[in-house]
Amino acid sequence: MKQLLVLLLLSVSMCGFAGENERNATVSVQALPGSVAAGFHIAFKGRKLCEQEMNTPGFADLTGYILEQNYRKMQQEFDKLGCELQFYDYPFLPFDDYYTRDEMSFIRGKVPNGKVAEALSLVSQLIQSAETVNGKELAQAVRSCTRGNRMRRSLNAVAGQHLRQLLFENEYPAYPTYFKGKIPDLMRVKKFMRRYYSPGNMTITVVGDVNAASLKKEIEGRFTASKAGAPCGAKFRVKMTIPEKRTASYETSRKSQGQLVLVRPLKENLNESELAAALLFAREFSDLISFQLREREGLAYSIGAGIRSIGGRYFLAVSMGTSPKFVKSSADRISKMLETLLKEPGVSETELERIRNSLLISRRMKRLTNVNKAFFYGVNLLWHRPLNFEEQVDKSIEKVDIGTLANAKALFSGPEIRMLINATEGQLEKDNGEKREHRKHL
Amino acid sequence: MLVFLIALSISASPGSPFQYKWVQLNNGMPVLLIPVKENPVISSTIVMKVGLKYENKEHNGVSHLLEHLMFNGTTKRTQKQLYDDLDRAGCYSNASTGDHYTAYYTLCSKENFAKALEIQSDMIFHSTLPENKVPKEKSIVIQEIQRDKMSPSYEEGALLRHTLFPASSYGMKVLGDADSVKRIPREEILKFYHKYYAPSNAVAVIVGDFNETDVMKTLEDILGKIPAGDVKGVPADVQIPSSKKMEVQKAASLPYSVYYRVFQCARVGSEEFGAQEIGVELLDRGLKQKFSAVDSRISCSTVYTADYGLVEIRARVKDEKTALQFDRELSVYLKNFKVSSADVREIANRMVQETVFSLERPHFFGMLFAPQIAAGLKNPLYPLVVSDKSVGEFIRKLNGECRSLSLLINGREEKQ
Repeated sequence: MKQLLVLLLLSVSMCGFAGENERNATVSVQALPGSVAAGFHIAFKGRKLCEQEMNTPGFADLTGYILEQNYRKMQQEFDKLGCELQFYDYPFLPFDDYYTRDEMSFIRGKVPNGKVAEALSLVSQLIQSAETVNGKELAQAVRSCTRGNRMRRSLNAVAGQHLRQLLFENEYPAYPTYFKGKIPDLMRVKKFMRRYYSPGNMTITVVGDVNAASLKKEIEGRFTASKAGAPCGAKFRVKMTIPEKRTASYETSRKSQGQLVLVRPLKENLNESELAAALLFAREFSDLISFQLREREGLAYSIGAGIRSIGGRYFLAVSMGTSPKFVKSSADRISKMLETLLKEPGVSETELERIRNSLLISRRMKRLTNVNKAFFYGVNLLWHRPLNFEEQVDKSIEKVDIGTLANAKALFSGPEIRMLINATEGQLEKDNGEKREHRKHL
Repeated sequence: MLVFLIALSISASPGSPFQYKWVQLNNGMPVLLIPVKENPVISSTIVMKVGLKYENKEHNGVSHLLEHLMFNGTTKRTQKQLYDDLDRAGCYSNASTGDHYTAYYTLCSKENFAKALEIQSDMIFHSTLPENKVPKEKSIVIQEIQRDKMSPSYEEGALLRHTLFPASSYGMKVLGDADSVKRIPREEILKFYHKYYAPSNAVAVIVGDFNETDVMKTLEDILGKIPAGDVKGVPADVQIPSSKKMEVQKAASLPYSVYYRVFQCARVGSEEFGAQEIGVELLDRGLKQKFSAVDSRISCSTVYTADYGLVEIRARVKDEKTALQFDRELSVYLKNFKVSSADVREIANRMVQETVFSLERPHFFGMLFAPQIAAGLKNPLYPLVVSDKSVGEFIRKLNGECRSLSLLINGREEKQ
């Protein structure tokens, strides 16, 4: 493992951060000998900034479907290489806690180690061909995009969008994530695509058992525009507003399902060690609420707490999916549990070891595949962080001691903002039988 | 080195894209070993060959409820101790239930594998299903059912199952419904657990960065010493109804209409299995090219249990008229479908490559292959031994020899 790390670091220094200009994609290639397959990630930058500027809400989402349609047409060629692509908010991505969808959309892929250059060459053709979209294909993309997508209608997605609107008002995170509405004008779509999918607006990261230097050169040659464009820009920290009314309630058509989201902004400019301690505290709190509310009382079908990054700020975010009648009372209880935990003295050594190991495996699981490693490297390039930022945070987590963890509680003193979705407090009285059933097993 | 004497001889050849080996523990439990050195982690998937298949209407949902209850305490650990021990070992743990299997997954660093396996084994074979935990698990499961019900695909899936398996337990839902879950007494869950949870009804899949000698010792020490038990599966020959005319089912709350053509096909352990899988991939690709105007997400896929194999073609359609027209065009398309040797090789390579991709996340391999392993899969590299002649034969059988059914689930007209 140490050898791998050295090789990884060597290749980082070898390829480093490629120069960014308006014609070329930013490219980073990491060699990881022994990999069973390579992974690549192409981030299209400044997603919502670009949409906001061009008044094209949800166009990155919509045009992702156009790319996917074109992929289906070209799939045989990708199949021949043994390459598999994934697009935009492809389900099951374990990256919701990064909320990167505000800042970018992407194409990512898995490919045999020896076929990366060929696969990326095909991706380049795929992106270029998307600009030739016609009215019929656009209509088809609108249909695929707006109907039957479970993810975009999930209560978590609804809560996330409202939360952004509360905290960031007119800033880019509050801009819609998903495309809605009728078929837009074809020329507007093409204009958006020309800008958003230009090489100068791409960050390409590759990880695999590859020759990093020669592959990087090859990819750079492939992803160059004939003339300079106007990349979508980058703005990673935006002004946050704490709303006066800190509890917001919303109703959706899915009335039989309830959701609550509680967030607390953390102090600005966390360093690695503070972030590590904050992650450990959030894990401790997550374990506490999920054991009590889900495992003991069966109140939640999903529950957890973590550190989220939105608009360049870190937040403690708690989310719980439950019956509408338990939304409000659960929010009250979670707040109280948080206050209590913040006041309690620190954890024991054994407890810290438990929290640390459980946090580390879940963080490492996200980076098992090379396509995911490429994703994180892409995010780190985009956010101007060291490429191996995640590994550095892991090392900091290993170093956090009881004292540091206790001190980290001061990071969580920000105001709490609550989002309650489909809460039906009145029903609590009507359903005494079930209420008793739950209380019985406290 | 007793373990090597009883090791089964099924394994990959040296030039394979990855190595695998089937072995048998002292108590007879089969284990699939796949070494992957990319990350310093090991996963253990224990597949129990029990699921919806062994349920009745009265207690529909018992397999899934049992899966939930397994995380609530064992003869030597309370639930809290179980969770704490898993955390302390840095262990990811999860489970899933299907028509004919229930699978339990763990993933941990290679240093902690023995500890993780001991906890997993304790959970699966020594659970106590504490009485005071049953109501809260029922509550969680019922909330899951409510959540699933909100998805349009819930009604679609329920109608399809009911049509395909009108007289079989496979016609019910894996999660059951709120009433059936509420009805299941703890005694019934315990009875079900003791009847089906034993090494004689289990398969283990170990994937990751391990040394074979060490891992075998760990497996024998932990799993191999558990009494084998005597679970006898009940093989069944489940046949779907066959009809030449398209059947129409009304689905008032479904916001779209969807067409299915379902074929009864070969099972996992059969000689035709590999050819069938490749044939279906080829059809999927062909259908997406030919009928993208009908539905850009048209699909052709397979469904397997220990008791049947099905090929399903699914397309969302505008209305009954469109469905009838598509039904006719599909028949013509299938009749003229040709298979080339190059296509077969290409799909076979892609399928193998997908399996290789899955090995990057060792626990994911277990999740992906658990249904097929429970249904009898022995060779995870099966696409490599398929001939184009056998794929052609599979396509020929679809045109007349296989039982088949066309079904339109007629929902509300979609708003454009």
